[in-house]
Amino acid sequence: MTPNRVERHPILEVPQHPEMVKFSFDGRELEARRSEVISSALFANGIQVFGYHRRDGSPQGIFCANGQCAQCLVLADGLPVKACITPVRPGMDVRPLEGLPELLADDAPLHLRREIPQVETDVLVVGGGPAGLTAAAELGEHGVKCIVCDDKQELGGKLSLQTHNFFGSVDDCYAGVRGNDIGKVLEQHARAQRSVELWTSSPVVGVFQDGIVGVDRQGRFTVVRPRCMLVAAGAREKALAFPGADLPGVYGAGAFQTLVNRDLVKPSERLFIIGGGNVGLIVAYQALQAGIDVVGLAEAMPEVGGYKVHKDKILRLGVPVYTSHTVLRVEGAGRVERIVIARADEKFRPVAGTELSFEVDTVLVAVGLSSVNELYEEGRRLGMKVFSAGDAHEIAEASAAMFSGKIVAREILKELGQPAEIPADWLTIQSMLRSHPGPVLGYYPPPPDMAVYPIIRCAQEIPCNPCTDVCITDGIVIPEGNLLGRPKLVGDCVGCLKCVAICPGLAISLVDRRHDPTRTVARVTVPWEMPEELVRVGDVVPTTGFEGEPVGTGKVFRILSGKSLNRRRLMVLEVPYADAEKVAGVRIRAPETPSAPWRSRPPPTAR
Amino acid sequence: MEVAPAADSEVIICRCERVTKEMIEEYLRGSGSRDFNAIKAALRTGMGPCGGKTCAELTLRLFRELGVDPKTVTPPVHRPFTQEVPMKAFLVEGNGGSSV
Repeated sequence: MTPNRVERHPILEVPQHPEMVKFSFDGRELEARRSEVISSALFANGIQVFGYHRRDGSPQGIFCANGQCAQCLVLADGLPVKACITPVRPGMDVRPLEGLPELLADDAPLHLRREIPQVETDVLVVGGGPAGLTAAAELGEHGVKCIVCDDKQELGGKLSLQTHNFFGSVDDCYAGVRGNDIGKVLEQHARAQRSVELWTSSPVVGVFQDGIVGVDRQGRFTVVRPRCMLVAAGAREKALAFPGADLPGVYGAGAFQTLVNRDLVKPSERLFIIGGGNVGLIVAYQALQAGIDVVGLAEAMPEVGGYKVHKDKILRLGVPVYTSHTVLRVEGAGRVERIVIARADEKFRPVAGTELSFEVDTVLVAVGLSSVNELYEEGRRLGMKVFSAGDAHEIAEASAAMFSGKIVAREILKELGQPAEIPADWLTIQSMLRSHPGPVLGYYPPPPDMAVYPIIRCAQEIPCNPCTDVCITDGIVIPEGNLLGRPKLVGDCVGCLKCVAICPGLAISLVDRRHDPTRTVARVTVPWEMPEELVRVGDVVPTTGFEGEPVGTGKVFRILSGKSLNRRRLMVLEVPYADAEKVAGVRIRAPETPSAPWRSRPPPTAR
Repeated sequence: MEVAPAADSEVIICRCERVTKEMIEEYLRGSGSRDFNAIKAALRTGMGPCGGKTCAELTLRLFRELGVDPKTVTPPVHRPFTQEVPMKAFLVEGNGGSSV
């Protein structure tokens, strides 16, 4: 085992004896997990600089880890490849790309295939993520011939990176289930359809004016002639331009999720996150789950763009969120050593004298996504019958992507001349699922004089309803009557804890006042998804309110776990009777004071 | 008081070809061009192995910073292939060995 692997994880299953293969980097023999990609294998071996740029010798590492950016080029058995999408083969000779690779000595003439394989199908689906798989399953149910092409080895797209319970509606998009589990379910649905073919490691690489589509089908160029094409290729992470943005150690939040959640690599000890959308906020939480310290998160706007519950859960754990702050630069000799941020004025200009510096080894960029829609645009230009769904159509949550796949599949059925209806309520659900987080309205307080009751701190309009579904007394309802409304306890509570266990926002705690007639202590149960070794039964821990404000201390009375809890553990705390309604979490990291403005080098002069 | 802006020569826009913000700005100011493809030809922005997938948005932002409406900018031409395809994918089975 190396120190750069995730060896324990509260949610993910870590294989205890993974099969290892040998490969070499720059002549050094190393080990990789069988079929993991080169970039993850190098990170697991503590190598984050993959080569030096041919133009200026600058060190190169990963940025997207998603096959989009080419920053991670290496020479594998003599050929330049993207390390993040190329699996390690046993005995592979991997070398850094320094300068331009030498031409191969072998210059014998090549024999091109005379016949390029051609395949006809009704629908070609580009991308086997939430939108593409849902659409394919829907089309397959109607007997439509369908080929799903995905550039990765595994299907599920970015669902495989999502370890958290999904928001959304229980009936329509697996709310309350973890994203990586949803990916597997969707794949099974698509696989169960006889008319659906799934091509993995098969990127779609071009559309041509005669309506055919080129696919690199597992290393063999193949053309597909579809009647319709559905582009469900997802999104790529946006880059941000600042001094030091190109240093190894600055990379996308999605790249981090790929390393940690998909490949179980531990790439960092201390990191900082730029961007307070859902991706940035969730990644902060996921880093802590993997035992990586999150020193802070900066957001240029006065409020984070992601769900309030995602922000609150990292505040409770002790991660500071710097709103109205912008990144000035990232510094380091050859790799990240520190980040400097500053307060931003209303025009997002940094304010002098407000600089804060943090010593970190990694900076994650989470400033939004842009649609992967080149094939869609090109298909349209060439007059193909082309559709788009999911993030390739519009950036939104994966729950919205699944639903959009379902709706677009019906549109395609119509295009193919099949009778198909799009139920009116589908469009309503769709618009709710893709809506941005609404205003923070405050939460419904629990009814008075109950001995055991949940406090549902769901204060913002977001599309989500699993708590109403699991309550065994049907005591939780959404008075607004729709998915966006906030839940309210109106009926009985028997203390079954199901709502605490399922709430994707970790926004429900259970107060239990039944155990101490002297009214000295009460029990509070909060969801707990952090590494086991951090908190043990019997520990006295610092308690916080819902938004991270310190409350006092509590004693860990019990930690519940079990299959029915969906890998979430529940921490039962004994707290002073008067604190019971205030306590919503436990802090795991002490707030630190960032260094004063870093003065190791003079500030750049204005020109 | 504002912090002095970072030197644009330190800010990389196109990672593949190491093109800085300063180089693109100078080119746009000097030429008055509104065509993304002209920047590609002059500086190689977007001409590296990623095919402009990372820098295209950042470059459009530079136009905006210079007061150019992005709608008036001629977008970059995308040609097949959208990503790299090894020659081997086109060869007769067994031809060229593993070194292609």
